[in-house]
Amino acid sequence: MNPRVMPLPAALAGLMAAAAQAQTPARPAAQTWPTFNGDLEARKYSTEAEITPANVSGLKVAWEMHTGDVSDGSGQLPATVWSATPLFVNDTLYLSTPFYRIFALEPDTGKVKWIYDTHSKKEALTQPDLKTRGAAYWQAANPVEGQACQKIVYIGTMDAALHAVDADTGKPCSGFGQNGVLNVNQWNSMSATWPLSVLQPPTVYKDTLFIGWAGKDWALAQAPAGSVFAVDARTGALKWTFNALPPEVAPRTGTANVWASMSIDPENNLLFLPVSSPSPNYYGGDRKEALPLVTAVVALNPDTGAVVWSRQLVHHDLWDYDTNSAPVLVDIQRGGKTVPALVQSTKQGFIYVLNRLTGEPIYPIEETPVPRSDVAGEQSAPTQPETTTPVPTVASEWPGVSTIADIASFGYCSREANRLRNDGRFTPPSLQGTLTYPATAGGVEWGGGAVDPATGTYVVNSSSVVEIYRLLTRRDYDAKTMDGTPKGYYPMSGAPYGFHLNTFVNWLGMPCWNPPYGTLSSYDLNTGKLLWKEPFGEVQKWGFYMPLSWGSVTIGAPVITRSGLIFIGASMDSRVRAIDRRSGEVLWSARVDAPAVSMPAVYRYKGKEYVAFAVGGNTILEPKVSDQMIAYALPGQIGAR
Amino acid sequence: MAGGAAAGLMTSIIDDVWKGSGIDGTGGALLVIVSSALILAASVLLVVARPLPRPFGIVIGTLLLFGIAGTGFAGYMLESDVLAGFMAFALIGWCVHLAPGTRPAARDVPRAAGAIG
Repeated sequence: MNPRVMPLPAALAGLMAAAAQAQTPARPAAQTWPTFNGDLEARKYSTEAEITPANVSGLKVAWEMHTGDVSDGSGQLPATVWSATPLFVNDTLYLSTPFYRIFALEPDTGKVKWIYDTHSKKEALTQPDLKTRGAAYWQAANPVEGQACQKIVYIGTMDAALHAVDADTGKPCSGFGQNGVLNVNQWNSMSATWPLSVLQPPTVYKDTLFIGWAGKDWALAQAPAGSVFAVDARTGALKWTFNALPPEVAPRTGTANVWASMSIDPENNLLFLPVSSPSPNYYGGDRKEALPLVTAVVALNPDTGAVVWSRQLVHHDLWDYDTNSAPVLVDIQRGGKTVPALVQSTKQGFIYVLNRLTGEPIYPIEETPVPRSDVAGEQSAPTQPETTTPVPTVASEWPGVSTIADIASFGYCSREANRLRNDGRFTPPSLQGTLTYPATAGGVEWGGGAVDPATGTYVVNSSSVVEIYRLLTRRDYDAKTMDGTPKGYYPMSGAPYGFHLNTFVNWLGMPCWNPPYGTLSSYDLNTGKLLWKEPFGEVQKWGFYMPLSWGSVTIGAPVITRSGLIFIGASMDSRVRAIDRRSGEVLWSARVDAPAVSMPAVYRYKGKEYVAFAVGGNTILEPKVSDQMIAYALPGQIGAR
Repeated sequence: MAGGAAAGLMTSIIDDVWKGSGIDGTGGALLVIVSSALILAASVLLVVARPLPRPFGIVIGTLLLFGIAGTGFAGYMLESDVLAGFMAFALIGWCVHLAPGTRPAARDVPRAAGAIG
């Protein structure tokens, strides 16, 4: 049979399906976790309330399973970074793995229903590690019984493919792309450089997938220009493309892509993009034009891709301060009125609270004079947009030299601190080396914060990391890398400077700056006030746990439940925790196999509430990886097995 | 003391290989394996080689105290409560070992030797 000729019953069914409005619920059913951030507004909020501060100490492992998709990088495969948030929808837990497979699991036992293998290359084409942050899900509003691909699970790959799979069977949806695979790289403006890696699951709204991509940072001045593709959820047909960079700058810069998740305001029909920084990341002498859509938050019309408003969060970015998490959408109360707000966390530690309809600040943003560059050819911005309400997650001054680390290194830390350029926040990269705080590692990373819409409480984890940024003339860079590229050197080929980056540690690997290294903070968005801020997690060195007051560098994000709990992994001590939203007190914790750098999913199935973590590790935090998927529940609840 | 050290050694080995310990494969876990093994060896030596010459006994006893305390502290820092507990048990054994009547007095050594002569 000619596959292009559709039998009549199937054609009728298809018409019926097309007529039915497709959807990812704006307000997900209480028991589901259908998107990366739990809902389209990226609130990371669960309405579940069976697990409470009073009973959370009784939480037990409901089930665990291992996908087998893990590599520590010691063999032929690159290491895996598994940051996938599981989805719970269609009575199934969907999970993507860093070997680019989808697992469909029974939500109450972890038993495998089906596995789909993309057979993608297990090569670190753009990222240093094999990486995935999850799958995406779409379904027709009224799925036609017996017809395939009325419910679809999507997985992206490092080699720029987006696979569409029937959510019930795990079979490819042949109507999507070519036999179920969409080649995203067909829209790569510079396909010879590297592929447009689809590591973050697409955002799904109505019948459309919004696809961002990740590239290879710090390698090239000239790189694919930042773009977001809107495609038909059923067919993969391109609807529109958003470009953050004007075409005339393409020969000199690129990226400014959207590699993190996006959010949607269904009521006002707005799509929000966190747009990253342009290449080359640490030198902007060849991209002096005002590029207002880069390192910015941008609101689009999801039907057309037209820009509704934008707000740049870093002018002429020289620090790789990508806008790196989905804006969180919540209505807050100001002066007796309900204000539609957008909360954008950042690597810089600023928390920008904007009116999501206009982009205007709800709490003041001031253009503050900042240190200027002393590098030949550079023209750094004279001011940067800073906000003090809510109080930033990291201080404006760096934390100072750690006495212990300084003594242990015979004064290395203080000597270096005195030698490096440090004129405060936004000190540009320099040839002598710049002590950079906060650094590209954050502040707040890609998970962003979570919000309780009922109280306006916003909770966010943040790191306190000091890095040393140093530009090298091309001649110096070439001399340093003549016999291969040592760790920490990045070419920025095409720019007049290469780049060296290292974390400010002594010879023992001890941070040269004072703790805490990571915190968890809670804010009242209605007033902008900090409610509490606590060191979060524990630093572990050679297995030894450092004092609680030191906290831990964090990657991942919290989830808030209606009952007043915060669930979070994110720390480098391989623990998952439940925290009292009101006080910040840790009420429960459990050890897992590696740092759980994904955000958890909270769902209910057969009357029982589960909290599920993908435990993948992250080589930035610890040389520890895992393939453990683990779910916790209270014993003896309704629906218990 | 030997019992505490043996149990501590077992615990350390499990901590080193069990992923759920939080310290598997770490330098700290290896360190307490070695220190527990040394405590066990020294404890056994105290039993099988008794009576020891007084200076040797003092040295071994002192090293044992440091070893037990250090391993216990390491267990605390590694958040291996079981290991720390077994070291506390070993410490009790060490104290009992000091108690009169549980070890031969050092001065007995030459007397015994003289008796043989």
